[in-house]
Amino acid sequence: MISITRVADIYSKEFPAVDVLDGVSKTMSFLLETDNSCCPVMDEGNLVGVITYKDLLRTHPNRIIADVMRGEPVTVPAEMSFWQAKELFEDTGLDVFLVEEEGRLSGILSRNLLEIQLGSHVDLLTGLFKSDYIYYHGVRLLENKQEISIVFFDINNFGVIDKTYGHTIGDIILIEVSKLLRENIPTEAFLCRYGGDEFAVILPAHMDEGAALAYRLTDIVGQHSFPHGIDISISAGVIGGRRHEERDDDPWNTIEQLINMASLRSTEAKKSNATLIMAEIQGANEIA
Amino acid sequence: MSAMKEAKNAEIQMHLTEFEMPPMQDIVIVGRKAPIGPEALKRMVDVLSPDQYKIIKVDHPVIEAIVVREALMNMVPEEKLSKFILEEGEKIVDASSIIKAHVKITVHVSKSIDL
Repeated sequence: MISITRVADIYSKEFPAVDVLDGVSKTMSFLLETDNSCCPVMDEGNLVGVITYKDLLRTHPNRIIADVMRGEPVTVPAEMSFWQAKELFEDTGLDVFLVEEEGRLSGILSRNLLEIQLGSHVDLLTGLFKSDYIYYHGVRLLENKQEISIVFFDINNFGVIDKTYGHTIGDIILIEVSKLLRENIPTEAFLCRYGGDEFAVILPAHMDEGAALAYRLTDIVGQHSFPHGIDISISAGVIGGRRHEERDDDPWNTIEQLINMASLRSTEAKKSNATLIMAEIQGANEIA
Repeated sequence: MSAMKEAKNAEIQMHLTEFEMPPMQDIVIVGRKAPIGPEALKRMVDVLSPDQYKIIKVDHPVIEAIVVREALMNMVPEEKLSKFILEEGEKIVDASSIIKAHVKITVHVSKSIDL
C-alpha cells in the first residue's frame, strides 16, 4: 500500500500569534526569537490574517501589522495530501496556509516547511520525484474522470551493466536516462524514478498516446551515446483507461494495480525482447 | 592661576498651536513605502472622528491608498473623486510620502423652469 505524505504529517502545531496592532519591528524580533517564518494575526481574539517574515521585510518598520498582513488566509484540511498542498502554494502564490483539523484551527503550514519536506520526495541521484508523485497525480486524474495512460520503463540488462562496468558507470547511465526522459516527455506528463532502474510516466491522454510516447522515448534512449560506448535500451509497458463514473473502490488501490500491471508488461517486454507491451483494461478502455 | 569656570544654560522655546481635529483634512494620500499605512491612519481617525473617513485601496505603482472624508463622496461619486485624486496626487507623491490634501468642491446647478 502506497504511503502518501499528508499536511498532517508536516505542519507546525506550535503557532504563536501576533496582534493586528503590533508593530513591524516588534513582530520581526518575535518571529526571530520564536524561530518562526510566519504566524497568524489576531484582532480581539479573532483570526484576521497571516503574516510572513518576507512580508515584514518588504515594508516600513514603523507600520502596524494591520497594514502588512495578508487578509483572508487560506485554510487547508490536515488530511490534504502533500502534493495537493504544493500545487495550492503554486496556484495561490501564498507563503503560508492555516491548517484545520477536526473543524478547528490546529496549526500553520509555511511554503518553506513544505519545500524542506520536498527534498524527501526527490530521488537524490537523478533529481526526479519518487513514486508517490505519480500516485498522487494518477489518483487526481482518475477522480476527475480523465483519460490516463501509464508508461513503465525498465533499463534492459542494467544489473549486468552495473556488474560489468561498476556502480559509478551504472549511476551515470541512470542519470542520463533520467535526463533524456525528463527532456522528452510532454509538459502535461508526470515522471518519476520508480525505483532502481525503473521509471514511470503518467499521461492525461489515451493509451495510444502513451504508446507513441513509449516508442519515441525508447528510440531516443537507444540512439543516445552513453559512456564507454555501452548500448543502452529500455523496455516499456503501457496501460490506460478512464473512469466513467463514481465508484466506491479506493482510487489509490486502482492506481497501484494499474502501475503494477504496467510494470509487469514492461518485464514481459524485456523478457520477450519486444520494445513495448500494451494492455487495454477490460477491452472497453475502462478502469475497473 | 585662574580657576576654570563652567556654565550650562538651557533655552526653552515653546510654540503653541491648536490641535487639528482630526489631524488630517479631507484627503490623505499614502505611498506604498510610507511609514504609516492606510489601516493605521483609518484606525487613528476612527478613534478621533469615528465613521468619517473611508480607505480606498488603489492599484497604483506608487500610491497604496487614499483616505477620504466620506462627506466628500456625497457630493462627488467615489470613482470620479478617487480618479481625480490619483491623477493629481501621482504628480507629487513618492512611495515613502504621506500627503494630506484639502479639497473644495463647488457644485454648480442650473435649471430651467417653465414660466
